Amino acid sequence: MATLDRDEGVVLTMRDYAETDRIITLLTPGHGKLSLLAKAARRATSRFGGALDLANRLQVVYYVRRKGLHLLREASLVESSPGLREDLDRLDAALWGLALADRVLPAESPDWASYARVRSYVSSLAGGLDPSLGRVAFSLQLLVAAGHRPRLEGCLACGKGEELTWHPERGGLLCRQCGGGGADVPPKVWKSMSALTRFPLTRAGRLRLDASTLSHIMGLVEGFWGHQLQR
Amino acid sequence: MIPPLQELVTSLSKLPGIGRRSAERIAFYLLAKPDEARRLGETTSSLQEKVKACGRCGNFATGELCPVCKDNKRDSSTVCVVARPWEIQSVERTGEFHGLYHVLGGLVSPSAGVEPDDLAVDHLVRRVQEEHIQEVLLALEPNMEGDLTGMHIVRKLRPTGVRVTQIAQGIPAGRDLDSADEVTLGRALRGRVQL
Ligand SMILES: [Zn+2]
Ligand SMILES: [Zn+2]
Repeated sequence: MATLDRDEGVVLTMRDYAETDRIITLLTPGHGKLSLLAKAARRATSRFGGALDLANRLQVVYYVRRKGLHLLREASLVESSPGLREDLDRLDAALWGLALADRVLPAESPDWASYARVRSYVSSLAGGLDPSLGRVAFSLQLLVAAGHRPRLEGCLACGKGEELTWHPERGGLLCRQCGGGGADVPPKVWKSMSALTRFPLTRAGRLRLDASTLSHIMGLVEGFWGHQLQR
Repeated sequence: MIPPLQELVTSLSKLPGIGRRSAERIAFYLLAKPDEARRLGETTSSLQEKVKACGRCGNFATGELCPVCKDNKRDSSTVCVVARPWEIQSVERTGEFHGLYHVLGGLVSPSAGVEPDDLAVDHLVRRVQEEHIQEVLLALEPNMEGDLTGMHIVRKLRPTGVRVTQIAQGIPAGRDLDSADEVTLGRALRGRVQL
C-alpha cells in the first residue's frame, strides 16, 4: 500500500514522459529536490491544468513509491510569476537559475536555505531585479546555502588582504606568498563577492557593480561550483 | 514464449500506447498474416531513408520540399512556427490555416541545455527577409519554455519589422469557465481580443 505525502515546492524542471505524462522536479523545503510523475499531464483535460509550469510554486500531494518515481496526485497553484514573462532577459535568467538549482542540489535532502534562495530569486526577478546581477548573486548565494561558502576574508593561510589569487580547491583566496598560481582576484572583485553573499537579492542593486566585475565574479563562481560538484 | 516472438513483443510494447497485452495480440496477428507482416517490415525499415526534412520549412518531406511548400495555392506571406514537425499535422487538420510553416526543432530549454542557436531561429529570420513574409504566427506550447522561445524569436525578428502574432491560449473548447484553473484563465484573459 502506497503512502501519501505532501509538501510545497517551486518547479525546477519539467519534461515529457511516455505519451501524455510529464516528470516534474520540484525544490521543496521538507524533501529537497523531488521528482514526481504527473500522469496524463499533457492532455487538454488534465486535472493539473496549467499549474505544472516552471517557476510556479505548488502545493502537492503524492504517492510515495519505493521503486520508480513518486506519483503526483494533486497539484494546486500557490503562486505564479507572470512578471517574468514581461521581459526576455528576466525570464531567461529565472529559467537558467532553476536549471542551475536542479543541476547542483542533491535529490531528496531537506534544504530550507536553498529553497528560500530559489523563491527569493524568482520573485525578485519577477519584481524587476536586474537579470545579470541576479544570476551572479543567486549562483553565489546558492553556493552558500548548499554549504560551500567561499572564504572571502583575505588569504586563507595568513589573512593578508593583498595580491590575492583564486583557489577553488582550497575553498577561497590565497596570497601570492602562501599559494600563488591561481587567477588574480582584484580587491574590488573579492570584496564585491563577499558583499553579494550577505546582501539580500532585493538590495543587491545598491552595490552598483559594473558589468566587468559581474562577469569576473561569475567566472570565479562557476569554477567554484565546478570544483564542488566534482567532489 | 519462443525467442522470435518474444523479441517482437518486446519491440512492440515500446511503442506509444501499446502495452504488453496489445503487443502480444499484434505479434500473433502478424504471425497469422505473412503479407501484412512483410509490408509492415518493408515500410518501417525504409522509413528513415525515405522521410527527410523539407529544406525550406523542416516539415516531413520525401524530396527537397514538403507538400505544403510545393503547393503554390498556399499563402506564402504567412508562416506558422511550430516546435516539432508532427505538430504541423494538428494545425493542418483544423483547415483554418493556409500559409506556410517553419519547424524550430524544439524549444529553448535551459534545463535541457537547448539554446536559441540550437534551433532554426536564424533560418526563420533569413526566410522572413528573403521570402517577403508579412506575418509570423507562433504556435508554441503555452508554458514558460514556449514563452521563452517565442520571446527570443520576437527579439531576433524585430529588425525585420515583420508582424509577429501568437495563437490564442486559454480555455479548451467545450469546457466550463469555472472548471479552468487560474493559470489557464489568466492566459486567456491576457490574450483577449477586441470584438
Ligand atoms: Zn597568505
Ligand atoms: Zn516545407
